[in-house]
Amino acid sequence: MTLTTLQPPPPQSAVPAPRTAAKRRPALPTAHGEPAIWIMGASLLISLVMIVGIFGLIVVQGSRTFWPQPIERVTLASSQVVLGMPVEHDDAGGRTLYRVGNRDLGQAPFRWIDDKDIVSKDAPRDAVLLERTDWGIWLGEVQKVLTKDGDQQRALAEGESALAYFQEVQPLARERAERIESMTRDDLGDLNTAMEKSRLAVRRAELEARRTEAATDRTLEHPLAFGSVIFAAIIPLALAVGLQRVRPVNRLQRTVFRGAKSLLVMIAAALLLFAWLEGPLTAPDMPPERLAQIKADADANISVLEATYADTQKEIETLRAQDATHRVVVVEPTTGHMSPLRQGDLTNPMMVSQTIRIIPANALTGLGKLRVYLSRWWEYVSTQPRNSNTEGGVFPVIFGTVTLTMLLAIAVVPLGVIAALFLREYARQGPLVSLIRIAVNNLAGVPSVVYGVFGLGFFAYSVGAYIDAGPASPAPRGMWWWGIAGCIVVVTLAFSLAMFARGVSVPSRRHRLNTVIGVCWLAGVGLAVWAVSSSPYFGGFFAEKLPTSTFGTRGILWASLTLALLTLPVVIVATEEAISAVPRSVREGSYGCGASKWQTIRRIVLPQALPGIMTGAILAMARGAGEVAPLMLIGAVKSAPELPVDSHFPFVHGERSFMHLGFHIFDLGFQSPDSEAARPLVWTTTLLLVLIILALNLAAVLIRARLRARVINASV
Amino acid sequence: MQTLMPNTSSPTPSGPAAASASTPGPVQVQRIADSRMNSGRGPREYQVIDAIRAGKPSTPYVSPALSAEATVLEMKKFSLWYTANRALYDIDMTIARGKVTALIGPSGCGKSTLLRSVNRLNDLVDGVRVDGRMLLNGDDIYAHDVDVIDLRKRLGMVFQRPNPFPMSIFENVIYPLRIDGERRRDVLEEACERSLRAAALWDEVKDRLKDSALGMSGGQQQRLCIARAIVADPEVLLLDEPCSALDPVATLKIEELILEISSRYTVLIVTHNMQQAARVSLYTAFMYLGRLVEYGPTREVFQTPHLPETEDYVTGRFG
Repeated sequence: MTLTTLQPPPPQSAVPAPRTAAKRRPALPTAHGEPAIWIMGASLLISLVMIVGIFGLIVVQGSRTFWPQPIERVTLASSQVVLGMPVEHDDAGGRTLYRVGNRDLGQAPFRWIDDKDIVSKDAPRDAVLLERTDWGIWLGEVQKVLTKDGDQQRALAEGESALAYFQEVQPLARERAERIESMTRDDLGDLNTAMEKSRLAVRRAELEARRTEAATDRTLEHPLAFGSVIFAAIIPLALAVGLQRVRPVNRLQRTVFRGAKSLLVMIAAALLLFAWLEGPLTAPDMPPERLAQIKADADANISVLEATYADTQKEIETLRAQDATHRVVVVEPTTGHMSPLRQGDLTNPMMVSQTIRIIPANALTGLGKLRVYLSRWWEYVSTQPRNSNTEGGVFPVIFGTVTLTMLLAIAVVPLGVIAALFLREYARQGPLVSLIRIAVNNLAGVPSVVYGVFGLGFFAYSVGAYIDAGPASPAPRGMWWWGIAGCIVVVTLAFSLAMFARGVSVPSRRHRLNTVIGVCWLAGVGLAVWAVSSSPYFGGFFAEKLPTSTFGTRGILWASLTLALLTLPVVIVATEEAISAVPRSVREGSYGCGASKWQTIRRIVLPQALPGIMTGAILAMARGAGEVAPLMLIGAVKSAPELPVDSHFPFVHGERSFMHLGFHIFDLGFQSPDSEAARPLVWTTTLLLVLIILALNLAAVLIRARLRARVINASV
Repeated sequence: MQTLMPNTSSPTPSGPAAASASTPGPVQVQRIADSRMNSGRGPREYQVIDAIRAGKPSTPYVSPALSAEATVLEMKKFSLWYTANRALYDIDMTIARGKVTALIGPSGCGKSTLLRSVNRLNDLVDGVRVDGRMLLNGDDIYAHDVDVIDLRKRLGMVFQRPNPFPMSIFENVIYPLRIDGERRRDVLEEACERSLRAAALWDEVKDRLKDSALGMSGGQQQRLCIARAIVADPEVLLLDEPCSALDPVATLKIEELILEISSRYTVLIVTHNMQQAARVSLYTAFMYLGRLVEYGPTREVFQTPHLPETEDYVTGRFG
């Protein structure tokens, strides 16, 4: 018997006659071919063209900045001779823009020359472009290298051989100049820091002495009172230990016992805190003789340091004098003046060490140009900026950007992951959680400058000021202790209720209990925050530096926290998605093995969600690294004297302001004194910023790929 | 032409077979066909099931053979609700110690729910409420002071789809020990080997214990899950349709394994596959719409069932 015989054969009459072509429902035109594919393709193409266009523009413009340009000698109709590098040609106006440099002669560094004024143009082989430590570039011809000692001058090389000799001695002179610079910056800087430290120690002692004088009587001044409070703290602890040994007979008793135990421990902790804050241990203790001793020590220390300072300075002076004897005469043809030692002193030739780089642009071969190009790139990424950021490098800028992004990631990832874990794993999915989720998502839509304002107001001026000088208006001591007591009661209540709620099996009652517990927790946390923020016992960590703010002003820590807040929604959303993508079956497997919720999260959910979390971190870092507007308010500066990370304790200086590539671009483009010269650097800095974000992303993507491989091909 | 005639349900060979996908193999199809062709009468009258369908309480038939067995798990009037929907009705059952007991019944009859009630996995679902008692070696599973975590450690569970964790094979097997904080390498290694040998997997994976468990075949993964479930010596091993996602060869291996480990462990298995229940179990409980219908030795249930509805179910005439 075959399967087909099971079904009754369909009656023949039920089969409709095949329709003729005319009777068939005509198909719509959209049924043929793929009409939408054209518009899809076009959209993709437009997007691609725009993306490739902007990246191509940045790469081309950014990478050609450092290529050496030829130097032209232009003879004008007025028989004036101008040395310059053509920058651009204005076809409509029939004129050319030349970069002529030589700013210290009082001329503009860029000059438009009408084509009709030009009699002849040539490219002299001996024309050189000098990159100098000050006043920008100088174009001219090397006439002679000489030593100058007072008024005595002696030429070391002249004419043809001058350029070669100059190129030979310049590195040596540079080395010496750099040594002088590093001695000034590092050695003298360290001495200054040490002296400042001594002065601050004195100031701190003075503050302590003033507090000692004005000290209000402490409640536990007497050792006996102190001892009795300590003893009183031991009693509840002993009781708690005793309760631990008693076996509860029923659930109610156990709940009561647990609550009592936590209350007893909290009371003991509060009593110890009371003894610590009100007892003789922390009382200000600076008798006048000790203050005098500290002052004397500091004075002795400072005088030793000052002697060393003077010695170092003398050494530097000797080196400077040595350096000043090596001079070079580079003459520009227009006025016949030589590159001066300092502005306005046109008779004194410049020092050899004042040149960073000598580029005989017209005499260079392709290889020579490439070397100049690469050396300029290296200088750009490895040195400090000069000439109000229009020359030199951007190392501190890169460093600031990378540090900021790292701090941002360190701040935002744990915070976002923990928040997302709670939202997805623990919180009961209801209107409140939906509201929170919507609020978090809306955070992403707030203009970033608003975050800057918030960061400045909250982090710098509130939290930072608190860290510097303690609470602005501390609570009275009595009230403060009442607050602590309230906090203990509320937290104990929350804890006991939570213990109780674990045994409640009726869901509605458990949910109501949970609401009460949540309110208790919130109240406890609120009271704790209040207690910390208005403690009458805290006078700030940096009170001795006041009125100079330490953390109470713009700095990299507050900037990174502000950006962390800004990028928090990205991390939360990505983490929530990653967590909810972990299959239920695997979680159930873990629960079935007897794992608790936290063990399941920690061992199963988080490892599997890690790649997704990393994606969120990558997006957050990319967003944060490219952000500028909040940084302008909260810490990015045009020029930062120190890096945010260095070899001095505590190594990462969150209070320091920093430089940032995004802000640097804005500064170069719109705030520069020499905008024509800075314009190519805008492109280069943009290229650098794009590359850094790319590198950060790439690193994170690689880490993610490794994590993913570990999840799939576990080798743990 | 055929595609233009949707109303004429042309009997393609795959049609009926696909409709009875839960009972694989042409034999089953044949039997359904036989019963349909030969019976010629309407649906049979069922005393118990008709009462259940009508929502009336019914008395299940429980074989007296069970009372002779030592009991490991005992259910007393056990009921369960998913918010307002009642899924289990006053189940009274005892599970024999050291034997394999199979739960059978049509989809939605509550057999998986019952299984998941034993280790309180249903607690994870919002709005679950239970009534009655369930005793594991005399301890009330649903007593107020029971620590669910401790309870689940006393039971092992294997799920429908293999669910190895994204870690190495070794870590997978010893996961229950890991979460108890066991760190001694020799203890873990010994437990891993013992468990994998018991799950008949040791020879296949002993050289790649460090490899990811996700790289194994489905059958191996399921045996790994069994190894994981027995590593902590459970009092009852709960198997929730362990072969439903596996091919016939892997199914055969798992069945052999169940028979083998039943000498050491009590096994409670939910299955859709009647032949499987007949092959591996010593006792079989037939459930319908959240109620127990017939419960007795497997041989009896399959060969001389007490109730006509049981006979019709195990021979595939309904359900």
